Amino acid sequence: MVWHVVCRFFLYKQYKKNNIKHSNLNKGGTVMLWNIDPWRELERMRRDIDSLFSGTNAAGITYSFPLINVYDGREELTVVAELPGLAKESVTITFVDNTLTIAGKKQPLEAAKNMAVIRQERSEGDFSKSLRIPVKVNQEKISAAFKDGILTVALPKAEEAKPKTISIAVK
Amino acid sequence: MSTELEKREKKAVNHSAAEQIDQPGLSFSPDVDIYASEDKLFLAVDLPGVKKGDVVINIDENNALTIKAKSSFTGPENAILRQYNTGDYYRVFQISDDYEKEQLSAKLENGLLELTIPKREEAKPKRIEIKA
Repeated sequence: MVWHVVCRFFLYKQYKKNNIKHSNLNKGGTVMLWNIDPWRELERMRRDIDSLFSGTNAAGITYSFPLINVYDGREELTVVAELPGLAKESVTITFVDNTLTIAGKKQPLEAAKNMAVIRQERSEGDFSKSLRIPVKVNQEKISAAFKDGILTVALPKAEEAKPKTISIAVK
Repeated sequence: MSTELEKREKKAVNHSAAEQIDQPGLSFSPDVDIYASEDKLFLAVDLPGVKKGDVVINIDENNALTIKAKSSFTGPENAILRQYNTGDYYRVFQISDDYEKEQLSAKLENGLLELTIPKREEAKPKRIEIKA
C-alpha cells in the first residue's frame, strides 16, 4: 500500500516535470523532444526512491554521479565509472582505509557560454563518490586508465584475498 | 499499416548510415543538454565508451535529428555491483526549420558529443535601430 502511494507520487512528479519542460520547448519553437523512453523514466524513479532511504541503495552506495560498475576477477577487482566529458586531469582517485574515492569537478560547457538552457539532463559541479572495497587490496599496485569518458580502476587483490585451489589427494 | 511499417524498417536498414547499428530498440537513450542562442543551437550528448568513428548523426527531410552510437567498451565479466548498463545509444530530436541543417558540426571528445547547428540567416533576430 505504502509502496503504491510512493510510486504514484513519483509518477506524478515525473509527469509534472516533463510537462513543464515540454511547454517551455514549444514556447521557444526551436526543439521538441521526440521520444520519451519509459524505461529510462522508470529507472530515474527507482533511483529517486532509492535516494529516499538515506541516499543509498542496498549495498550502501549512492546513485550519485558517476555511476559505477564493479567486477570481481580472480586476481583483481575492477571499478568502472562513466565520466563523459571529463578530462583525465580533472579527476582524482584516492584510496584510503580500504575506501576508493573518485572525485572531481564537472565544468560548465565552454561552447554553451551565454546560451539559454532548453533542456538539462547532464549534471554540473563538484562530485565525489566513495566505495568501500570488501577485500584486501595490494595498494601499491592500484592502477587507473581513462578512455573515451570511461574510467577503469584496477585493484589487485592482496595475496591472502585471492581464491585458492586446494588439491586433496584421494586415497 | 503493418506493411507500411515493414517497408519503413527495411528502408532504415538499407540506409548506408545505419549499418552496424540496426536495432535501435535495444539501445540506450543518452543524457542530453540543449542550449540555444540568437544564432545557433548547441547540444551536448553523453556518449561514454564511444570512439570517434562510431557515431552516426543524420537529419532527414522531416528535420528529425538522429544520433546513433556504438559503444566499444567491454568490461570484464562477473559484475558484483551494477549501476549502469552498457550498449549502444540512440536518440531522436525534432529540429525546427529555422536551422541550417547542412551546416551541422560535431565534435566528440572524452565520450561527450557536441553538436552545433547554426540558424538560418532569415531566422536570426533583426535589430531595428530607432531613429530620433
